[in-house]
Amino acid sequence: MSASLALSPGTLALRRFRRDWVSFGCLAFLVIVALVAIGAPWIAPHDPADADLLRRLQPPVWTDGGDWSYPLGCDGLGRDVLSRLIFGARISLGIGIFVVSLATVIGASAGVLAGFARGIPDAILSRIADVLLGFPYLVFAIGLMGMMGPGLSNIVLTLVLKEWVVAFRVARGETLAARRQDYVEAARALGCPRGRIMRDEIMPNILSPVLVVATVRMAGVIIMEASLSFLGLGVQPPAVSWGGMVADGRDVLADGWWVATFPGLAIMLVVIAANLASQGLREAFDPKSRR
Amino acid sequence: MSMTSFVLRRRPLLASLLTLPALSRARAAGSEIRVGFTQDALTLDPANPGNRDTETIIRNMYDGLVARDSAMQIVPQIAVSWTQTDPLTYEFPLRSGVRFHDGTPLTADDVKFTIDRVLAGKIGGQTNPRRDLLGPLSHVDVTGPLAVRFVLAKPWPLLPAMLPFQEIVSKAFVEKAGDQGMVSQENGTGPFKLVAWRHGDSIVMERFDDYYGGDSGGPARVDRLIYRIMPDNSARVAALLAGDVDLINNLPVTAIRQVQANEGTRVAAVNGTRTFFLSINNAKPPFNDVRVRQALNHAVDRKLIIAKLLNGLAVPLNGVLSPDAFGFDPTLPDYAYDPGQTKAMLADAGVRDLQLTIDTDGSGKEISEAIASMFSRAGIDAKARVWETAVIVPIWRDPAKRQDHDLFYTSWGNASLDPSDIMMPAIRTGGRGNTAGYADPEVDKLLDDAETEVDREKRKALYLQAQQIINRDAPWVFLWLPQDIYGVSQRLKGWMPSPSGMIDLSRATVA
Amino acid sequence: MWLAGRVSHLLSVLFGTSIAVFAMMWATPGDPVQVMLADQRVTPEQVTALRHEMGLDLSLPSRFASFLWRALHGDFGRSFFHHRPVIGVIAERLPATIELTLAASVIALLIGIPLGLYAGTRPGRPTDRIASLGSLVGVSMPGFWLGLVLMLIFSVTLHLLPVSGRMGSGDEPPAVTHLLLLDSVLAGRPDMFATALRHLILPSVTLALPMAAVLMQVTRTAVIDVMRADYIVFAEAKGLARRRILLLHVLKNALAPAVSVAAIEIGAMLGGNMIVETIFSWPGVGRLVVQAIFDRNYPLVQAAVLLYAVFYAILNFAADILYALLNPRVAA
Repeated sequence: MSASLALSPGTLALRRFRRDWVSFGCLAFLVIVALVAIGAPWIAPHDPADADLLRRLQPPVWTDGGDWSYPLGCDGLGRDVLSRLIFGARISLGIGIFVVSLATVIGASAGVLAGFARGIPDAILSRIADVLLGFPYLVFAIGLMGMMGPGLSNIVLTLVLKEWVVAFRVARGETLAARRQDYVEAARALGCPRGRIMRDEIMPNILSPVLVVATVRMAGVIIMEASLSFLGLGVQPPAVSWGGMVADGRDVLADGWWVATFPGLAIMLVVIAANLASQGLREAFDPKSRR
Repeated sequence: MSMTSFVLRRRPLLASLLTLPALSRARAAGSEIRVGFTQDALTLDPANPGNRDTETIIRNMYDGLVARDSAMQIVPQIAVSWTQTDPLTYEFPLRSGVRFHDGTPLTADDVKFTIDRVLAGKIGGQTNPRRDLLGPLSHVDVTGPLAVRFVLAKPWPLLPAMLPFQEIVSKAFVEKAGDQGMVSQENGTGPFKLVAWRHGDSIVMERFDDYYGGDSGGPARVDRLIYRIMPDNSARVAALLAGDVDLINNLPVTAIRQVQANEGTRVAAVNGTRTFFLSINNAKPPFNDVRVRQALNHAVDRKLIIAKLLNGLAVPLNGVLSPDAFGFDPTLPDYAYDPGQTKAMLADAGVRDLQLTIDTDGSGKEISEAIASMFSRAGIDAKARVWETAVIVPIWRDPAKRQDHDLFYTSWGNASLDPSDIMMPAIRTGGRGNTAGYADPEVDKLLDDAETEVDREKRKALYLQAQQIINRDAPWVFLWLPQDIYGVSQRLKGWMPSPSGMIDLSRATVA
Repeated sequence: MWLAGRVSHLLSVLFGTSIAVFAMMWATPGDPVQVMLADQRVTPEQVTALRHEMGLDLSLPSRFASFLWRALHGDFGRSFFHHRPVIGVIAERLPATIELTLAASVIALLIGIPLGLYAGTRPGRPTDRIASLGSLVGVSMPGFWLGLVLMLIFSVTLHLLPVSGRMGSGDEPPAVTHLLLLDSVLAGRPDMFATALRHLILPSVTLALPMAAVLMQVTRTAVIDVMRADYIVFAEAKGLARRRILLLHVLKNALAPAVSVAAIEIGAMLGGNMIVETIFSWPGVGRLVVQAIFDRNYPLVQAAVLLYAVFYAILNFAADILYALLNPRVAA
């Protein structure tokens, strides 16, 4: 309940977060990558789909045979690796953020509902979650992608269908714990409508663990998308994704190590940053959890 | 082992090898050849292998009446020779002294049984798609303990070309093991016999000492032959480079330089039998206009793609057939790379702002993207779209489903190197592989006539005519015929790749 | 009673899973008959006949009903492509996957938990920071990446380890457990053991590293939590040797979450080792299943997915039991 003289937990968290320069730096890095992705059409030196077989496997600028117009070299079809890397950030990062956001909203809402209402809605939702959890990730993804065909929206749908369960479980667990708290009991005793209780009492309190899990999952989603693209189930050309670039580059590893290395590195850096940022976020909300 | 014991143990074999060359062959004790292979065999039953990779494995253990050598000539194996006594009848005298791996001798009954089994059309209760490989074959007669007669229902000049696909099984064995047993057990007459089949991992075979010699003149030179299953390209190449295997198939183009640079390995290539092309949806405007189709043909720089993406290991085509095929027309007009010509022809046909999508499966992604970018240079807004094979093939094979689709990067195999085998399904109206929807009554008549024309020269003339028409009509964007590329260890001798895709190691040795 | 509850839960999950996979296969475009026939010569009548034999011309509810009925009798049908019962095809490849998963789990446990214990007892010190960084990289590296790099280094460049496969061209020991390492020990053949081990190292390390990283984190966190608890301070005040405190209390309490996480990770590993199996040509189920999906080999996909669901449920079950056993203060 409000009417407190202390600062809200959100502001406190923000302050702590800003002091943790590692996590803050990682978040800043992610924001920069996101900005670059958004500004891709203006920042990228070339059209990522511009292919010229005569430039095939041209090495990066610091190697013999490279030049500054294609600083990171060209891929198997003569396309500029740097431009493809920049445009690829749109897909890889974009999918990571979008999928996690959507999955978290859906999953957390379902989780709060299930945890609060119990009974039949909980049983049904939990059962669906269990079935989805038991389905091996790759088999599920491949099967679903096969069903709907490749393409950006289908990838997002597939990943969201698998990811919402995580947020669901966390939200449900936290809700179950929260509803036994005094202030919830008090609210119910006072006759507050259940919807209001869910929205005003429970949701704000489960927000932090759900948020933390969400940022952790972002790393997993990015790798999952990369894996799907690696298997050939990713976005369609001319769209570019980092996982797809690694897949393309795998065949020419001996003749053109740069084609697969730079996107692989990009995936790793973004994922590390996401993990560190989420760790920082968790510690910011709950300094006692600092370890 | 000493020469004496060697000779003594081979007495029965010696008796039947009297006419064959001397016995001095390099045979190291415990020698083995390891092949890094793309796919596991689906079954060991030669009546229904299911795909060419399985048949390649089976062919090591089962011989046929005839086979193809590395020059694609038909050579006798179990049959000594064949003669066509009239348009409907072929006589096959059989070799004596041929034994199955379980020791029983082969007789004409086994040959008849093998063919009858395929003619029956069902294996293990399931329809056998290989039945049609025997065409209008009516029945097989046993004319002696070692002689059979093939009787056709109507003239079919293709019979000798199609016989290498049939491997002979033992009647007694099949009756005992049943169709189910044939899946995982083998009893053939080939140079190697099965030791163990570790599914998904490897197939281990050993030399069959009583091998009658086939077309290689004696039993195999090595003790063991192992096929190791390695579907992953990089793993297969790495295994060859590391010396874990002596031979790999399907060497990816991108690994050629590595294998050549490596001291212990080399590249072996041979003209394949699979024609690659872009199937154009002939029914969909503006592709129904022949000028547009011809324009598309001028927009692809085939030589550059072959040079850069296929390492030069392909033959550009202006038609359907492989240069090695019977009746190949070398005089077909060339569709030279000329994007200016493309633009002119499109304008001529009144087509402005042409947009198209090239459908392809995963394996054709890179090339389809390259072709799309070449189309873009000619002013066409083109892009490639990757599909799963299982999804896109049924779409393109159904005229109703493919209505809205433009181009399809695909291929069709012609393992017999006879034009009938590829033109009937892929060119003739209503053919199962005729994804372009090409329908020319004149071509149809030529192809139908050639099916039953027994005179070789007349048959050839019919196909020459057909090819000229097809080239002019351009139902496809003609592309190329890739070579089959193998990676070989320098230690392996006595083997040459064959366009048929079969791997015949009966004469091979390892240093 | 509780056991009965779990079993009924499992059954309902299996039912839900089979509906899900069945619906997925039905809704997926793509024709297994066309895949199977490729460009062989067949007549339309033969295609129809094949379709009928594969049961593809029946209506969806009757296909599902017949599938359920036969499944209850242990008959999962015949694989479209292998001409053999699906159970047989999967059973042949299962030991390879199990051996790989077991080896990877053992490696992950042996690396992750001790590292986590070590780092957790020295939080903030350099060793801890390095271990944490390593663990971070471990979870952030895509599996397909790591496998390729390891193969390049150890197989192609150094020629220390084989590139792929499970036993190479060597003979296999007589099959008792179908796990090559165990069987070669049972048969008293150290040479076979060595060969099998050499082939197993790279794929299992590739699979194990991410799990080891997670385990390290979880253990470390648990250790720090436990060490902060008051009773540890109290015990130290009593003068017990530091080592014994660690061993007795910290280990037991930290182990609980670690092991239960391990069980769940193993379940995830079973469902996700397809990429490692592909890169190293490991003849396991993962590769088989994904290829089956591409081929639209419905019977095989259905059976395999149900199998995964069972494994996952069993592992979850084990995780809960282990947690309760190792941490009796927390009731299940």
